[in-house]
Amino acid sequence: MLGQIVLKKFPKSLLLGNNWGVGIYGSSWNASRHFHKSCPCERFHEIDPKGEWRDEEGRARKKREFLVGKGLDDLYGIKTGFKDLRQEIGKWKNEWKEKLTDDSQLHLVHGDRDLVFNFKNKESLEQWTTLADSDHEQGFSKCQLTTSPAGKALFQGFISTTVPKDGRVKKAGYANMKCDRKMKSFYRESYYDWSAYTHLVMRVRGDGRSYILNLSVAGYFDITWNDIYHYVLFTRGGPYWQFVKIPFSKFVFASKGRVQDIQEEVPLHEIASVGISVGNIEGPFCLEIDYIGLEVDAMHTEEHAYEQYEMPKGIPNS
Amino acid sequence: MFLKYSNSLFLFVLITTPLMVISSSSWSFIWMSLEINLMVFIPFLLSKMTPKYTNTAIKYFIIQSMGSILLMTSFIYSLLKSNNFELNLSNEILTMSLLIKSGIPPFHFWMPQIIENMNFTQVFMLITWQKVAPLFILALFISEMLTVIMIMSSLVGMLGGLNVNSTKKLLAYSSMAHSSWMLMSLMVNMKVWVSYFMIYSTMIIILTSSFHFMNIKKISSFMAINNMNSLKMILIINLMSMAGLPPFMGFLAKLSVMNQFMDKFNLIMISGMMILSSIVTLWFYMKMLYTSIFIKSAHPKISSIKNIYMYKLMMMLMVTANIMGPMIILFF
Repeated sequence: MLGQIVLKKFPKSLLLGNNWGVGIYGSSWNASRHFHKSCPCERFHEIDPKGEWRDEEGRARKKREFLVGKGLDDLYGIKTGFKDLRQEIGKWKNEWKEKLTDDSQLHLVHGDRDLVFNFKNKESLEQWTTLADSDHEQGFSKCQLTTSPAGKALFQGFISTTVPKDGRVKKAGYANMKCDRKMKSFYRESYYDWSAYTHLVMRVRGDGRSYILNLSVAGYFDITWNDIYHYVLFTRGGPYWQFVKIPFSKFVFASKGRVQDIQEEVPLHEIASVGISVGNIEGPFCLEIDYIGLEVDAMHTEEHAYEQYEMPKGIPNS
Repeated sequence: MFLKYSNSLFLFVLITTPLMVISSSSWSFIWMSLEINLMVFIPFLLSKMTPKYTNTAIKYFIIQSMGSILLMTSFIYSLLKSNNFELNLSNEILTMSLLIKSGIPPFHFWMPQIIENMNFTQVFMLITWQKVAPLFILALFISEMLTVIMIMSSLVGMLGGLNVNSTKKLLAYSSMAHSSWMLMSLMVNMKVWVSYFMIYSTMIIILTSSFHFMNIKKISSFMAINNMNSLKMILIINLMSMAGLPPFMGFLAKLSVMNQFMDKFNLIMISGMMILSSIVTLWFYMKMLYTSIFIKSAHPKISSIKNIYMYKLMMMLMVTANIMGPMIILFF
């Protein structure tokens, strides 16, 4: 309605629109005249980290089903609350013990390698979540994370580039596995601190496809929720394992998949989560992962691989 | 080119605003100067327009604005001087707001987060110059709360700095520990505070410049300094001074504060706790020294620095002051 009022009162040339039919007054004012090339953005402020894919009804339904299914009474929250409190206090004590006693990061030398995710059993897969476009009704790709016959993590599935006929989706075909956010006691979100290391190392056995490694650095503010650093993981098909060593200086900064003009080095003290994505090419995919770790390479002095240019004043983001 | 001119303008106003706070005679002028100081520090933080620096600037702005809101609240509260309002919390609210602005525990949680994403020049300004105005105002309104804050600050500074790899975070926790000594000196006398602050600032200039020139962002980088024994000596002397070891200037500063505090208040328990926390903070300075002296990397990264002669001259002068200062003061 605001869009209609604005349209009547002001000439179109004064409105800050663009070729994608998205303006500051929302996309509805001119939806029929322009061909949408991207997802319409009706808000500047992001309400939910999931963005367009929050499902409040689904969440409320699942919560009801959980409570009804367990036959739980109204005091359930209070009872489990006390149990949780004891567990969380235990976790808090362990955190302090670790803080006071663990100084392993201070004595790292050249060549030191530490495994962050070691996929040696089924329990190690519990902290990972898989996602495909079919989960958001954006496509028909499927994926799963299971244990391989060799006892390692196996990320496999099928990428389908068939676009669903809903008029919204223009391109389809992706699958992703992502580790859960590191949490401290009392459900406080925390970060992985990898500032002592220079390289990300992995032992993988791929199918020849290229995958994308994602380091999420989601911050406190909503515009930083989708900040992710990417780098490509090229795999060789075949029966042999490959050892991959990628310097953190090579990662590229992007937000919501869009590579940003202003690049900077990965803030290694604020890594929220790690993920691996695959997509774009129709067909099955299969990636076996032994471990994901970190290495210190004292000979690697590069801080950031991509040079920046000083732009003249007046250009945005200069 | 234009940016460089504007940087010098911001720097000039940044240096002037705490002086405006010190020389003001009304609350409104104090508040105005603090606000200008905040506004001018923001562009100083934005040395590059990257997400890291912009996040830092936004967080700093929000925290300082909260402090300013509480400051205004305390002014308004202090006006409510009637018989109906026996509980006058204006002093306490004022103290809280100034502690938020300075990053002194228990309102310190923003400091290590923000300091991690700054460069060393900004770190230096934040932990020294930006504390002048709030601590000056605190000196005018000493409350009993300050004793508790002093102890809390020393404990938090002591515990927070344990097992921290980042030199910037270490500087943040070290500044919290030194802030407790500054609060102690504030309770004694303004002059004692000024002298402690000047000695602390000298030590911090040496430390932050050394870290900046040698690009030391982690403690483990200390072992990568090779063939620069004179620079290592500078760091060693300064770190021992920061830790409060005799015969350096840092020790003299702490000794004079402790002496005068005991003379005025005779609070043995509190003094004892401060000394004990000082011993623990000594440990994390020694950690840096240990890494630089006893552990040598087979793959040295730092073997030369830019403008080394200028840096060496500056540092030699400052370190001489560190060593000779106490002797001059003691003998004359």
